[in-house]
Amino acid sequence: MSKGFLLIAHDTEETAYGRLSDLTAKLIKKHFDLPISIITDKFTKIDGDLYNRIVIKNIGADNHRYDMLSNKKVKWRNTDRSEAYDLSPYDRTILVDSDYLIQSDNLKLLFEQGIDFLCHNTMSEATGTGQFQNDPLLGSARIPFCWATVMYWKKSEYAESIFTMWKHVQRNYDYYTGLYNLNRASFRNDFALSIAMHMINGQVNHKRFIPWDLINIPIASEVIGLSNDELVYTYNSFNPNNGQTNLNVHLLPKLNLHFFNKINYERVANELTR
Amino acid sequence: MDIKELKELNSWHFDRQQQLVNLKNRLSQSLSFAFNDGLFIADQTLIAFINSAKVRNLTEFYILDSLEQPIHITDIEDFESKAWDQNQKALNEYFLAVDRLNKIRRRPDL
Repeated sequence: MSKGFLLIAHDTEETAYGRLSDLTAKLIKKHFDLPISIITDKFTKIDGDLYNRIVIKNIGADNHRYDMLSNKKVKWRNTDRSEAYDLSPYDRTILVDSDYLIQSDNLKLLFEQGIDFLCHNTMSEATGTGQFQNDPLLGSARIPFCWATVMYWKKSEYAESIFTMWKHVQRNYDYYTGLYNLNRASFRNDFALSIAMHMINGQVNHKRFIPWDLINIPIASEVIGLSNDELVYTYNSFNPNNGQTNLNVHLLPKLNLHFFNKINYERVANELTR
Repeated sequence: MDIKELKELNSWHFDRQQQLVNLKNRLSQSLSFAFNDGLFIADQTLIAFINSAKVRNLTEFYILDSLEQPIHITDIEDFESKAWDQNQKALNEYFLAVDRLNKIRRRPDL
């Protein structure tokens, strides 16, 4: 039964997601002896040698998100994640965001358990600055929040059903975000996946999630470098709205980290893969 | 203590607590292990449960894993050994990290 990692990268004018994916691929290779595939488009620049399979797709509809650092709306091409099931060449796949810093091999456990689809439900913010609400339930409907940042699936009827429903929710996003009373400002895979999972699981809350937190580094924080050994970081937290920098310095023990600040991710991942 | 020192003290404790939170997150990941298609947390409760099965001279038992799947355990010795190994490996790492943190007395060392 084949196993492997899958990445998705579509460059935008503001962010070279292909370059971020290359760094993530290097970190995967550092901790796993598994093949890596990427879903991308012909305009995105990637290092093809890092991937066992490259799936070229047309760029989907542009989405937008507010970027706190530049204080403007930026492009975000995130609409083909729901197709990952069909496009993955593996029987068992782990998909991670291109800004997910892998510092351990703990994701290997996902391949060794029996549930056919897993993602994160709970998260922890590594900075403690309260920039995220750790609410495992979403919106006023209080359905389990599903982070699409890290996902594991095994080719199976159950996993395929989730992705089929995800695509349906995506096509009818306005209707479903209205039904579940969610903010519909821009398309969010997390929301579409949460709704799809809720429906496929018989609209019953359950506990079949990755049994540890997704660790987020919010955008208003900056990891400033390595210290002592490769497993320890120090960082500043800063407020981009008023330019204030506090000097909080913390350690981040070999945790896998999801960065919201893409520039910072690139610098840190570069340092780790050097 | 003037306001500047109080602010410094407050920041020091904030930093320290956040490091503990991050270490606990690491511990929670490190305690996880897979067995018989199940995903388990190698904590004291699991180890005590396995031990109670051994005290009862059971040769097999059923248990819910951390994903609420029922798992059939037929090799109790192997299961116990894996749980203990995972527990002590993770706790040893956590102990050393917390010990290091406790020895830090001045904020710049963080």
